[in-house]
Amino acid sequence: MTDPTASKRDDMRLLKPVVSTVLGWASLVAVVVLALFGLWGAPPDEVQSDAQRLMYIHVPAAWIAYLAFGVTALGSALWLWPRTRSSVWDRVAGASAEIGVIFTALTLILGSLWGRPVWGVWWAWDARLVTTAVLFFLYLGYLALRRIPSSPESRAKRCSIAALIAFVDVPIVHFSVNWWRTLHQQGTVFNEQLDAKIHGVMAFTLWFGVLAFTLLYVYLLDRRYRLLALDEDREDREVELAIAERVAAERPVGNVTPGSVSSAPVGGSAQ
Amino acid sequence: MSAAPVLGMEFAEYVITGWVLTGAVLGGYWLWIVQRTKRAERSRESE
Repeated sequence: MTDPTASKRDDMRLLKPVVSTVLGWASLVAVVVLALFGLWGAPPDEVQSDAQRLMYIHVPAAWIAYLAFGVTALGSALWLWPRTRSSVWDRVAGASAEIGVIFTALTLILGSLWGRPVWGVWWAWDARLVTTAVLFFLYLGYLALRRIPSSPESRAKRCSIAALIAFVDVPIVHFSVNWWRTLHQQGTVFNEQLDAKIHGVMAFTLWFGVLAFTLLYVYLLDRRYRLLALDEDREDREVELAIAERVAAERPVGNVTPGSVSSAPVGGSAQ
Repeated sequence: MSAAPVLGMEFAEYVITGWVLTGAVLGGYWLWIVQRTKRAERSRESE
């Protein structure tokens, strides 16, 4: 005999609890080491001085936003593909999109804080900045779409389609600095010449930042996935309870026989 | 593009704000997930 609820319970976690715990601690240690290198270990930039220290979180945040929206698109495609359709992919997509929105917001805020001392302005109507802001609002819309009450199937379908459409903006954001003349600098690592313009401790700190934020992303994805699964489980139980209450309420009460129940409408007046 | 160094760092107000804000946002998000997960697990166990 197999427990019919076993598969449902099994897919409430992405990672084993011990792996998740280790990942959480590893992320914390990595972020602390990143802060030490980013704020003190790495030398100040020749041109931008210490303002450039924001790069060690701004760039990894942007890369994680790309990664998160990439995972959302992948999860959505796997849900739409009939052979791989599973609620797991819908949850992965939803959890990843939320984390992506947070990292996109951080990218915009950190970029603004970096732009003020370097460019002299908090915001510019620049192709990279505008397309990133559009990305933020697209996925904010995606998250709003997920909150519209409907059946899990129809929600997953419309959200998967929306996620794939929204993902079109990710390469536009990335290549915007090559396609248009922008105030924003070109890619430091992944530029047109594929010639990294960063070396030594600064390069190490940047790559370490990407690693630290990637660990944190995987950890947060696992935690957010579990919360989504628990919320869906609670919604299922609430629906089952509501149905059971409705069935119980419609059942005849006590010794009343079906023939003795009045057929008069409730609240009807006897005139 | 020069500013008086604070904590031995130029533009410290922007740099420190950025790092602290990042820590606060990510830490706050993690805390929100943990608290909501605990609440959901407690409610699940009580039924």
